[in-house]
Amino acid sequence: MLTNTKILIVLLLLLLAAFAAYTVYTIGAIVGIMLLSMLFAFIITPAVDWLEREGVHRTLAATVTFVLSLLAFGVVVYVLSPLLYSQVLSLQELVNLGQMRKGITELELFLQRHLEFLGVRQLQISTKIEDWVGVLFDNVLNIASGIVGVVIFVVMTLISAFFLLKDGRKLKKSFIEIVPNQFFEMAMSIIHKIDWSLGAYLRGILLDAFVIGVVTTVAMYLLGIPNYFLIGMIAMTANLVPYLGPPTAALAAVIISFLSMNSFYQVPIILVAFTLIRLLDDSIVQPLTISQSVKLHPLTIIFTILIGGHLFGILGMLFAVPVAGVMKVILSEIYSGLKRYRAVY
Amino acid sequence: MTTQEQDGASFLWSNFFRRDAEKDIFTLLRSVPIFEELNRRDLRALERILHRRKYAAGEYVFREGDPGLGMYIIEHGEVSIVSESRSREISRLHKGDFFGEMALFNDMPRNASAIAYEETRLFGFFQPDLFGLLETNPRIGVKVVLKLARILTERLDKAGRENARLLGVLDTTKPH
Repeated sequence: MLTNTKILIVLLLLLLAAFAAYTVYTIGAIVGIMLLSMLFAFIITPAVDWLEREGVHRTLAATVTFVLSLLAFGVVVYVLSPLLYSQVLSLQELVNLGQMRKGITELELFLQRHLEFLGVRQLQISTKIEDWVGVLFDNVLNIASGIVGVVIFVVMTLISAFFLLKDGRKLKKSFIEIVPNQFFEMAMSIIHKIDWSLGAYLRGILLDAFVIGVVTTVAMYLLGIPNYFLIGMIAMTANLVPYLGPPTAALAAVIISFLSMNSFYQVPIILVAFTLIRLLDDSIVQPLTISQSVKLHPLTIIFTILIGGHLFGILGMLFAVPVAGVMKVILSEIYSGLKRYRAVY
Repeated sequence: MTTQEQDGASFLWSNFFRRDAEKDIFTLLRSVPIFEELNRRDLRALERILHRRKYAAGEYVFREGDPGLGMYIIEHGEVSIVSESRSREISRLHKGDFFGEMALFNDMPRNASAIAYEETRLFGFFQPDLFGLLETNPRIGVKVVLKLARILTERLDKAGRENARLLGVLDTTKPH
């Protein structure tokens, strides 16, 4: 039977969800800073905890870990960005040189010759792809023009992340302090479980994406595919989106390699490599990194991506599923917490 | 006395009273068997993670059947431990007493309710705090866990002997 408390809790949860959705929609950038700083803090918290365990004061441990992480990231970017830049540049040159148009015209002719019985005539693929590429470059230019905003965003995110690392526990304690006695133990239990599950989930998906990125880069390099690093980076990023990400990455790899080599011979090899990497991910990497309980239904994923794309464009599509995963972790922990404390049945 | 001197004096007094209050808290915490092996430095670290809660008279601290999350130490006031299923008070606890320590190890349902008998201040120490302590400060965490294990072993031993005694009584009363 529903008591007043239960109705109140359900109403509060609904209000909270509506408020969160409204906030994300209206002040997306600030929410972005909060989420990214939390993500950063979640990833490197174990290192800070380890230093603290070794007797280092929390503030010093947070500072050292923070600075070392930034340095490591800087070194990685410094070492790998010339490679990525040269590969992007070579791809851009190929597009500019009309290699793409030539290759696609050949593909069109091939399809027209062999699929005439299906009514395939004028496909105009190259014109369509050029339109898409134009839109993509426009988006990149828009991002570049907002570089000042990006710098402010990054600085604010880093400052927030540092304070979350240093004072995360104090902040959590202060939050718990304001919870009324009636819900205190329940709130504490739920917050602790969310903290644990969310940390595990976020570290899991990032580690999985990193492993897949490295494996793909190495595989493409060994197979002699040009722009192997670019393909690896695309595979790593796309891996954040389950189901749809890996095929998209494989398609991008096929297109990039076709533009670079101007032949279809490497396509089956790339597809076999991506299938094997997928099998490796599904059977070994994911079970070791990502909790199975956070898996989302394919239908949920499709709608999540559509909503993310509608609200925030390409970035929205990319981050929609991890954000949905985070929401699932939070809501399922709240629900099981409420059930444990018999607030809902 | 100038304003600066007054400020200095008030700072000294507040610092003096703060130290006094700190001493009181440390004495209280050390009187709890689980924390009795902690030194002053350990107690300061422990105090930072404890949750200080205030309850009005008649307010529930926890209810029978709720999942256990940790223990409470009474800083001020009285707490009544009540069996809801048997509708009777099991015991009345006072300043320095503690309850719910079994929940630090498992989240089995609480077997009785705890209700503030009068306006009461409690320190709460919970599973997440203990796990955090073991993670970030294992030296203190291990001391607490070892002491807890010792207390539980003693209780188990006592229960075992009581069980044997009762079995003996049962044997003697059995008709031959």
